[in-house]
Amino acid sequence: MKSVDIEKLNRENFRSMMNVLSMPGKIEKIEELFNSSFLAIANTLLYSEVSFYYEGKEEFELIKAITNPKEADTKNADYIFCDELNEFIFNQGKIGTSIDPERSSTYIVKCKNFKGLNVRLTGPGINERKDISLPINESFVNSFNEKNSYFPLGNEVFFLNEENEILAISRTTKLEIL
Amino acid sequence: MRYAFLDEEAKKEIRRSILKAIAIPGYIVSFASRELPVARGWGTGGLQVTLAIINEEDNLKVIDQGCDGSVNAVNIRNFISSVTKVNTTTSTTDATIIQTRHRIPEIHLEENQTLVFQVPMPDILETVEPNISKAKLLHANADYSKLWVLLYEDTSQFGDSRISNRYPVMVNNRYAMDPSPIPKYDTPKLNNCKALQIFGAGREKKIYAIPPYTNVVPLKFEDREFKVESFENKVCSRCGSTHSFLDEVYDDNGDIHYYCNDTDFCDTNLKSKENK
Repeated sequence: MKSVDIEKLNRENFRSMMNVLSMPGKIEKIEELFNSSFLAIANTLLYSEVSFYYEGKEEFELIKAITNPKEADTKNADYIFCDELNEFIFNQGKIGTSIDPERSSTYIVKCKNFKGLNVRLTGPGINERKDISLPINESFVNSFNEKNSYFPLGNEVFFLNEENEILAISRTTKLEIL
Repeated sequence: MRYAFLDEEAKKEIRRSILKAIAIPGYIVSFASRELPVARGWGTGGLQVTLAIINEEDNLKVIDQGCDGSVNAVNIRNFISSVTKVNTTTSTTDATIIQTRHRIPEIHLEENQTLVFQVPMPDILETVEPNISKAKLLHANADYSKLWVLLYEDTSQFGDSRISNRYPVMVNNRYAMDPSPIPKYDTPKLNNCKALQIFGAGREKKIYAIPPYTNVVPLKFEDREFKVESFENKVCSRCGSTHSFLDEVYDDNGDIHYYCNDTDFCDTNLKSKENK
């Protein structure tokens, strides 16, 4: 039986997540766990001190057993995993408080690929500007900009495609439709 | 022993804080600091950050006061390499992770590099507001009037701020941040840096960060120029550099000599001159 070094996967996948969040729009690879890059990310992020919400088709039971996180609703979860970009759920996630802005939700969203709306990204982590395509619509851009309008409050969103590639936009990232 | 010494839960806790710190540039994130087999004050914050982010592909450099060969740097490098078997280097350009105390390397950093600072005191407001919960409220309200008063008092009495290191900086136009005990000379290097900069304070249980390409400016009155240490007319006695942070060293005769504080920069300079 092929053995898996989960901790090695975690440290490699964390570095990819750290790199894409520190430079919004950058694309990196995620190594699969249990044939799923989505579960690999969940396994990297979740542990007993954090809570999560997931509604989708992936089999989360094993990840839950390994990582022992708390389950929470969309209004209280630290990490919200989505099989597809759901604006209703996005609008519900917590954005932190002025005193504790880190007590906010981070979104991990599956997508087919990164093709979609052409947007211009500006903000920290971006060398002046970056024009990319994101699997989002105009309405999401409005929601995202509105939720992140009062910095430091807001959310980070990671997009994961079927090629196991990941990219992120941060609460500091300004989206402008091209 | 586990890879990188810390258990997986500890790493996940530090990683959670690092991601939040990157998302909120300059904001201080609390984390559950762990015990390490080095004394507090030896850089357990920086060490925990490095241990949480390092992997087999990395090339590690550790410097203390600009030097790869000081006791702190050597011990930390040996410890990390003994628990990770990761490659180490003294070359700034070859390193992927640089753990540092007191200095930012002279050579410009690149996008694929991460600079990890060992931080003794993470909150810049500590000097003007010792009550931590009040300081947190001041950060929440972006109320830095006490820092401005401190600067004003210095400027009115002495003509300029007396702060020689840990000079307060404003990150992304929002958070006043302690840039660790780097000299004023290094403060401009924080601005628009291509590398990710992560600051770890173990004793204080805090992590904060500056993502690449982030606006970082020293707190300064509009009519006052930000001045760094000047080494005008001073030359490194070893490599001849005229544009680096220099150490003043007295020899047995009482004569003063100047040497580059960044030893790798000095070595590289010397080598390139010898090859010409």
